[in-house]
Parts: sequence; structure tokens; C-alpha cells
Amino acid sequence: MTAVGSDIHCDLLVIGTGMAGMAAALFAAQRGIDTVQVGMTGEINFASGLLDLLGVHPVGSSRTWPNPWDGIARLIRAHPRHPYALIGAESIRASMDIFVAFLNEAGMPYIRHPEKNVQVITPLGTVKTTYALPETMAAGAPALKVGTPCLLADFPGLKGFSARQIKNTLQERWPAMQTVRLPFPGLRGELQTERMARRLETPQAREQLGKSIRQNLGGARVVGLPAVLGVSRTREVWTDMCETVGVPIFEIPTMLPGITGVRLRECFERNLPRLGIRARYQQKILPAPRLSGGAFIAPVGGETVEAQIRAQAVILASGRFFGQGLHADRHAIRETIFNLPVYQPAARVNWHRKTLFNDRGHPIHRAGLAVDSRMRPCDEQGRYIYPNLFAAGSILAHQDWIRQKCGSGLAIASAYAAVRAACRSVQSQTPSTQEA
Amino acid sequence: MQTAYLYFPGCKLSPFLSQYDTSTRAVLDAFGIQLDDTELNCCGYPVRHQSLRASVLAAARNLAIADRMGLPVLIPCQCCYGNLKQAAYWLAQNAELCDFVNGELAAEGLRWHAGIAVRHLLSVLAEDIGIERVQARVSRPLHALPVAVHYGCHALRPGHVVQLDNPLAPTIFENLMSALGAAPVEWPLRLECCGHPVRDNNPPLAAKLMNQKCEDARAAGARILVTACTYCQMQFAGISETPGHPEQAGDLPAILVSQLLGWAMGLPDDRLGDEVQSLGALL
Amino acid sequence: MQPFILATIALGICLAGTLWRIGRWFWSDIGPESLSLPTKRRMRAARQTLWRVFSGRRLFKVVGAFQWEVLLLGHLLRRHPLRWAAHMLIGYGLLTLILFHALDDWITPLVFSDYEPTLNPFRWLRNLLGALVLMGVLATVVRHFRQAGEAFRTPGDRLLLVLIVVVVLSGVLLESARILSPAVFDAMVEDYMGDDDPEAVAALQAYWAAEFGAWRARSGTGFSGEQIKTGASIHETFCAACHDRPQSAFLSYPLSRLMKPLMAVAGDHRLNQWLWNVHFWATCLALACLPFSKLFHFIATPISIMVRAAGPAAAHPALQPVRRALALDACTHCGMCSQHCSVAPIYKVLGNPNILPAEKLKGIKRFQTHRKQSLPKATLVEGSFICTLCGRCTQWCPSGIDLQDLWQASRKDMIQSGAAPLRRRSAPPLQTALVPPAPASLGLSDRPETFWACVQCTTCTSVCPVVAVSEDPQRDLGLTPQQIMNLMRLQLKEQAMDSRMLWDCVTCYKCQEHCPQDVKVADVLYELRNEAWHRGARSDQRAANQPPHGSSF
Repeated sequence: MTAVGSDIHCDLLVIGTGMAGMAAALFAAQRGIDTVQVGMTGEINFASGLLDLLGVHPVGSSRTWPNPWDGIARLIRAHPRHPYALIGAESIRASMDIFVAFLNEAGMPYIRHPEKNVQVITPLGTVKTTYALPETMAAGAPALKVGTPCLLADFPGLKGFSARQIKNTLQERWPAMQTVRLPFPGLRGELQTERMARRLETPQAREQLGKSIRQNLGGARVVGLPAVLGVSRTREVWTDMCETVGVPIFEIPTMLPGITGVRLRECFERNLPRLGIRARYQQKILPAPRLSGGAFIAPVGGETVEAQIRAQAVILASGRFFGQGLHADRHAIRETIFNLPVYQPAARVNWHRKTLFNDRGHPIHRAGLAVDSRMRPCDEQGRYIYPNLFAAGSILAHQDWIRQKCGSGLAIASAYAAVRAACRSVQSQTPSTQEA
Repeated sequence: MQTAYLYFPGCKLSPFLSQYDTSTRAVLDAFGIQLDDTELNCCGYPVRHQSLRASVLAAARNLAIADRMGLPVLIPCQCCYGNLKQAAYWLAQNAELCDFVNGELAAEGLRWHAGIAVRHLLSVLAEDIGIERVQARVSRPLHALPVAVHYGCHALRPGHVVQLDNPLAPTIFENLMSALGAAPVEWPLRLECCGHPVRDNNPPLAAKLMNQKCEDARAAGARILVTACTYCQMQFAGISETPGHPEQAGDLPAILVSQLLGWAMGLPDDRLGDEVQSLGALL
Repeated sequence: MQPFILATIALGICLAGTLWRIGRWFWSDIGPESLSLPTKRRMRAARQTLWRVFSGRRLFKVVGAFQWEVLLLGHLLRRHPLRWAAHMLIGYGLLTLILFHALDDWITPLVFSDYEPTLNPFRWLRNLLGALVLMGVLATVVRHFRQAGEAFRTPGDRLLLVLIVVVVLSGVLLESARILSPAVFDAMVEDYMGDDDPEAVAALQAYWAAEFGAWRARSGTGFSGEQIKTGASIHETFCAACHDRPQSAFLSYPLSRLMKPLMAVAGDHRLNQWLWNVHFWATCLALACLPFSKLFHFIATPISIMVRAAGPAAAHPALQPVRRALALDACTHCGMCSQHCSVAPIYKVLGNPNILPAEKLKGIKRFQTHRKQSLPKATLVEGSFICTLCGRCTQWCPSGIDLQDLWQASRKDMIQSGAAPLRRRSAPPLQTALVPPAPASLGLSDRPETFWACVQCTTCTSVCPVVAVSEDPQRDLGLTPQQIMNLMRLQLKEQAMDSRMLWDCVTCYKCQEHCPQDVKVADVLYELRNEAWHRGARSDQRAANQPPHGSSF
């Protein structure tokens, strides 16, 4: 950590440590750009671990897409302002390839078919379309497809995960599913996923659990569990348990608070600094960054200014409302760091439709930063605000990632495009070659 | 390089863990750093449970003395460090508290203001002195000894108050260990609390927390635990404040950063403490 | 009553009192291990220690300490010259007066073969010593007013100081009265002149009135020069061997001039007798009071100093309770410990004097004497546990007391007798009607804005190590961190405070660090503990019938 009060010079400043921010830092590191990343814990802790590319289109229909690229093509034609349209399928593909490769190298292997979506079950027993799965969840997809005899286990005290409910919901789709409720080794009362996951990182606990699952196996050839197989030693825990149980195990993402997002965060936190990213976690950009001689000067710190970052380019991946990238008050939605113009409904009364669970979602979900083809936030006329300020991730407008099931793809692809554009911007400003 | 500091040993150092004092002095002396021993008072950490105001006044007095002497404060204990930083934080936030504190300090001709430098031993070693200088003085490298570094809590969190390192992914301690030729292991519970704060209140809880950490460190392949705090070392080493009332030690040997560093620098054993005796066998 | 009998009784009380107080060192129970150490074992330990000291190398250290610290009060000389002066003046002044004036029938002639109290330099010396003692007392009083909170605090201590002044002053005035006294003159003439010749007596009277300040009620003319001359030669014959001129008594002589008018009024003989009675009785009273007053430290403190100097030779475990009881007597309340106490700034805020070592020691003394009847006062308990055992008081104590050992032992005693500092109990029951609102703290927990951003994501509970390590959080902790935040969000503070989680929190700040919405979870938990302590402290004070100190956040 650099000394307090000093100036930090870099080529690229990535604001945000969520999926888009981490992806942007990854891409920047691989390109060899001198990058500083700043962000607070926010939305990424709640990620399910699944990487969605495109699941549903159009929003409001039940149409899911076995081939996400077909869906993306359709989406781009229907919604030319959607970030995917600005990024282009080729770049989306490239970004996902790199991202998945990184996770594999980092010891968190992800399983996917490059051209196909898969379907997995949720903790409510509904079925979700996604693109890439952590290996600990991978066995669930073919099992669902084929209807493999499955044992689903839950634990008393873990809220939001009932094996019986899942079975009830999936009855017709997956008839060969059995359920069992098992006591969790060494814990009683209300359970939290992180406690359970840490517990399973000890050999005795997982041996105990494995044995009790095995005893209840019956004719099942695959076992489904809530996602509690370790936080930092997930591979070890999962392979160990599969061995003890004797059949493949697949994790099912849990309700909040889960540890699947924490796994991703920890993976990034461990590996990005190794790739050369100068990370300032648990810090934020404080008011107010300004332009000086074409570069951005951004004060950074926890609550008080600790340093000034001077960056040739900035990627804003600060998240939406929960991540505090956008802020909504009684009048308008504003962007919290640079006060960029936010694409939003004309008045607050138009933010929501009258029914809460409207299939088409609400107009406020499409609010956000509108960007040009170079991922630069722009005004209503399409003119960019700053030539060297780029945006990525859920802060972008014209997308509804929850209903379109495109969250991860959006984050990763937009980060990729933003980094590419930022690189060009940096290189054009400083003609001397960068170190690879 | 800053060569003079106001030394803040903290209340527990000399009576209960004098080896931390002697080894720290020995190491800093070897780097040519002078420590001023002006009498200071309790940092205010233990009394914060009863009264924030008392805690802040106690801390502020030390800071004001440092300011009067024009020296940064050097602190071996992480709880003391954390509390001095917390006090500075709250004083900057709360004008009424600041007025009260300065009103009390005025009777001694002292005054607190923002910006008084407070450094933990780890920062002084890794940043003020610098990793390169430290590495250059290593004459007995540790031959890739697998060590588990224990960061403790109060110097690490809340990150924006204590400003030691990245609170979610700190590296300062591991960097120091690598400079000594040790091999710091990756262990998931490295940032967890050692349990000492509830030692009196709830001894089984404190023991559980400590034992869990030792187990985790062992599982990660560590053969020794390294601490940088008076309280943490007392917890892992089972050192009690009450004579005739022994505490249970963890099942992994624990050593202080200054002891390990001093040994690696070839300083004489008698200035470092008994814990270094086990190093020979481990290497 | 016969003076001799009175003196013997006073001395007897003094000796008995001294023995009793020394004996108390051997049967006081301070520290839980003392319950299993009967008096006999402690005495044996004392004997063994004495033997070890006298037969070992430590003896040199002990003798050195005796010379430098006890005889010369060297440790005071450097740091507290005024206190040193007062001690030397009073101590050596009184000692010399006792040995060479009170006991002048036995001791003084051994040193000065032709001693008479009415000779010089003894007249001058007596006054001088008296003056020095009074100066010492004056220095003490000045110091007391300059530095409040120390020195002679109890009425018993003040009594002794007053007695000393009375003894010295009455002695000085007695001398004045005797200078003037015609009755004494007449008695001396009868005893030593034997000559009934009224003219000779008159001449001697004249000489004495002129040269020695003697007084006589008379009417008519004064003395003639002739008479004085005659008187001088008579004086040479009969008196001069034992009587020097009293003007050298620089206090008594001028005072006698002032007393002249009194002689006519009071009646000469009665005044003398009265003054002598006061002088003698005051001395006897002082002697009898000595072992029960602060001046007992005259005996206890030197012993304590030498025991410290004996170091490891005096570390016999069975001797520890003895040393502690000795410590309680050896403390002179000089207040040096409090001046250097690490937690003194905390005292400034919390206002509990038992935080400071000097007061705490007094509190422990009181607790010791009334142990069987009651719990230690809540303020004593709180003060004892705020102490961080840093050991600095022990380093600075000029009386050689191992304060840190005393604190450790008394804490154990307190816990054993059922008293425990607030943090070791669960939050005390609420008495809202009686407790006024706490003075302004940071006010985090009372401000709704603190909790607005909380969405109950339960991350704080998820990362809490205390929750993680519990097998059944509801059983062990009652409420988890996010449940406490929820209750606070709903402004249900009372329910939030009624949980074990509040007291088992290890203050690791993980909850606050990981909160995605910047809720100050750990700071709020701290504040709730502060609130509980504040309420508990006030209810304890009510129970102890004490007005609350200036306790504030």
C-alpha cells in the first residue's frame, strides 16, 4: 500500500470491484496496462457463481435460448441500444473465452459449451438458463436434462433451501428425485452458508457429512446440495466429498447470503494483484474527481482522502443502486461519482409499472449510463462526456440483466470493450510503447 | 528514512511479554533507529467497552505528546495501534468530542490535532525501513520455512480508519516474511481474530477461536505462526496475565515478527527471547 | 496519676499496638492462596527469609537500601525535595528530642558527661529541634494544600499531626513559663542555696530578673544595681554551674516576654503545671496513637523498602500475603503511583477515584477489614479492573510496595467474593424510569440514519467469527449481529441490548468491514456496551448509596 497522501500515477483507473470491475482489471492486466483498481465490497458477494450470457429474450416471454448466440443476434436486432449491440458478438465471445480461461487457471474451473446454454435448478425448484457453471455445479445440468436419479439433501436451519419444495416444483420435470434432511455436522440452530462452508473445510466434518449422504443414497446416481462446499478450499472439499459419497455431487446456488459470490471475489482478490493490478480494496473514489491536462485526478480513500490518483483513462464500473454507482432520490436518478447524465424515465412516476411482478419489468431497470460504441457515457445527443472515461457493467442503460439473464455476459463483455477502448485512448495520449 | 520515533510499548508489553520489547528494540537498533522513551499512558483500547470518551482522551493524550515532541509514534501492539487510529478518526469527525478532549489536555499544555503520524511496527519495517533494506540485512535466511502470518484484527479493520494495508487482501506481512526467506502459506482463516478480547469473559470461546486458527494454519502446511501484536502472541502462546492461572497455548508454535526478523538478521539470542530456540529445529 | 505510670501505660499501648499491626501482616488474607496459608507457615516463611537474607549476598543490597532509602530518604531527595525536607525535619527532629530530651535522664549523660538541661547549647538545641519539627509540619501542611488528595487524609492522621504540634509548642511554652516562674525559682533556691538570708535571696532575684528574665509579682520599687551585682556573685557560687542564660532559647525566651502579663492572671504555679501536663499527656497520647496512625509507616515503610531490596531472597510464596498486608501499612499516600498511572486520563472522564492506585489501595484496605460482611464497593471493583496491570506504579513507589501483585491478588479476592466488573456480567436490567438519558456519546445507535441502509443481507452475521464458531447461535448468543441491527433499525434498542452477543463480540470489525452498505455494525455494538455499562454503573451507585461520579461517555 502506498504511503498516505501521495500521488499515484497510472494509465488506467478501474472504479469498481464487482464482476465488471474485476473483469476490466483482468483484461487490462493481460494487456499490460498499468492499472489501479478501487472499490468497496458490494454486489459481487451476492453472485450465484453462474455466468449468464443470454437466457431470455424477449423479456416478458418465456422464451429461453438453447444457443445464446442466436438469442444475442436476435436481441441485437431488436434492441440496437442494448450494450451487446454496441459491443458485438465477436467481442462478447472473445471476452467470455478469456474470462473462463482465467478462472480455470486460477483454480476455479468453469464448465461450459461455447455454443450452448445449459439449464440448472434454483433453490426454489425453478429452472434457470445459464451459460457457464463452476465445476462444483456442473453435474446438475446433464442430470436435470436426462432426469438422472438424484438425491437432494437439505439441512435444518438453513433458510431458503428446502429439498422437498424443490422436488415439489420439479415433480414433472425430474420425477426421479428423492429428498433427505440431514443434520449438519457440528452445527445446530439457524445456519449460515459461510459457517457451513468453513466447517466443511475440515476433513472430519466432510467425512461425517459424506457418510451420512452415502447412507441415504438409495438408487441415486447424483447428489444435489446447497452451495456450501467450502469458501477458499472449494475444489478440495468437493472432490473429497464426491469420493466419500461415491457419486458426483452438484451444488445449487443458495439464497442470500451465499458464499458463491465470495468465492469469486476472493479468487479475484488473490490473483489480480499477482497480475500486476494495484488494488485498493475497501476504498472509494471521493468527491470530486476532475480533469487536469487531459488526465483524471481522483481522490481516493476509505472515508477521508488518502491519496490522489492520476489516470490517463477511467473505467467506471461502480454498479447500480446497491453498489452505489447510481443513486435514486425522490426526484431523479443520478450517477454518484462524476455526475454523468443518466438515461431515465421522464419523471419518477414513470419508474415503475403498476404491478410489482410485471413480466416486462419496470422502466427503472433500463435506466443507467447510455454509452457510445466506444463505451463512453454520452448525453442525449450521443456525444461522449469525456473522451477518456468509459463505463461497464450493470450501470449501463438499455438492459435488464435480471430478466434477460445476461448479467455476467454484460459485465464481462462491456468490461472487455471498455478496456479495449481505454487502451486505444491511453496509447493515443502517450505515444511511447507500453511494457507488455 | 525516518530514524527517530516515539516508542509506545503499551501496558502489557513489559510486564507480560518483555521479549517483544527487547527483540523490537534490538531489531530497530540494528537499523539505526532511535526510540524515545518518554512516559506515555494507556492507549485506551480496553476501556472502550465502557466509555468511548475515556478511550479517546487516553489515546489523544499520547498523540498530543508525540506532537509536542515532533516525532511519529511507533507501536508494536496492534490493539494500541488500532485504538490510536480510531481516536484520531473520531476526533476528526466529532467537534464536540474534540473540544472536550482538547479542554482536558490544555491543563497539561497539550493539544491534539489531525495529522499526527502513527506507525505500527510492521509498517515501519516494511515501508519506512523498506523491504529491500530488511532483506539486505538477512544473514540467516529461513530456508522456505512455511510460516502462517497472523494479521490480527485491530490494525487491519476498519481499513479506512487504521490504514495499515488492504483489509480484505493484505500483503504487508507476507512480503516481510518472504524477504526473510520464509514461505508464507495461504490459509483461509489468516484474517480472523485470535480470540484474546474475550479471554476473560468467555474463555471457551476464546480458546475455540484460537484453536480453529491453529488447525487451519496446520492444514495449510504451516509449521510456525508469526504474530505482530502483544495480545495475539499472548493468546497463541498461552501467556497469562494472572500468575498461577495458566492459559492454554495453541498447538502450533507462535513467534513474534521481531523475534523472527532478529534471528534472521543474526542478532544474539539473549536479546530476542526463548521463542527463537525452536527455530533451529524447525529449519 | 503518676507520670511514670502514665508513661509506661502509653508505651505499653504503643508497643502492643505495634505488635498487633505487625501481627496483622501474618493473619490478613489477601489473595486467594492466603486462605490455605496459616499464620504459622507464614511466620516460618518469614524466619526462613530472614535467614536467607542475612546469610546471602542480598544482605549488601538490603543494607544499602537501609542506608540510602531509610536513613537518608535518598529516593525522595532527588524527586521531591520538599517532602524530603519535611520528613527529615519531623523525623530526625522528633527522634533527637525523644532520645536526648525526653530520655535525658538516661541517654544524654552518656554522651555529654556534664549535661544539664538548663545549660547551653542544650537550651538552644531544644528550641532549635522544636523549631525544625514545626518547620517540617509547616512544610507538610503547605504540600497538602498545594497537592490535594494526598498526605494526611484521615482524622486520625490529622490528630497525630496536631498532637506533635501541641507537644512541641507546649514544650516551648513550658520553657518560657519556667524562665519566668517565681515558684520554680523559689524551689530551686530552697534546694540548692540553703541560705535563708532574705537579702541574699533578694539579690539573686534581682540578678535573675535582670539577666535571666525571671518574673516576680511585686509592688514597690525595682531592683538596684547594687543588688544585681551582689546577686551575680551569688549566682556564680550556686547557680552558674547548671544554668546558662536563657536568651539562647530563641523561641522560648521571646515568648516568655509575651507571657509576662499572663503570670499575674493565671497564677504562676498553675500555668507551669498546666503546661507540663499538656506537654506530657500529649506526648503519651501521641505515643499511644502512633501505631494506629499514619505514622506507623515510620516502621512499616522501612521494612517494605528493605524487603524490596532483598529481591528474590524474599520471594517465598508463603510470604506473599504478609508482604501484601505490609504493603497496605507501608503506603504513605504520597500519590506518586497515581501521578504516573497509565490510566489516569481515564479517571478524568469516568471520575471513579478507585481507578488511581493510591485511592484503590485505600479501598482495598477498607475491603480487607470488612471482608466478611460485605461485597467490595462497585466503584472499587470497576476501578480495579480498569487498571491495565502495566506495573508502572510498582516501579515508582518509593515505599517498596509490589503494587502489581497487590492488584492481582485483590482482583482475585473480589471475583471470589462475587463481585465482577460489568463486562463479565450480562447487561443489567433496564430501569428507564430512573435512569436519565446517557450523556452524548457518538449517538450512532440512537440515530435512525445509521441503519437506513441496512437491507438485512446478513453478511455481518455470515462473517462473524463468534457466530461461526458457535454450534447453536441462538442458544449461545441470543441474537446475531444482523438481528441486532434489525432491532436497532426498528428502534427496539432494549431487545437488542438483551443478548449475549453483545458481550461475546470480539470486536474484530469484520462485520463493519464487509457490510456492503457501510453500516457501522461494530461501532454500534460498542456503543450498546457503553450504554449498558453506563446504566449498570448508575444502578450500582444507587445500590451503594453513593452519588454518581462524573461518569460520562
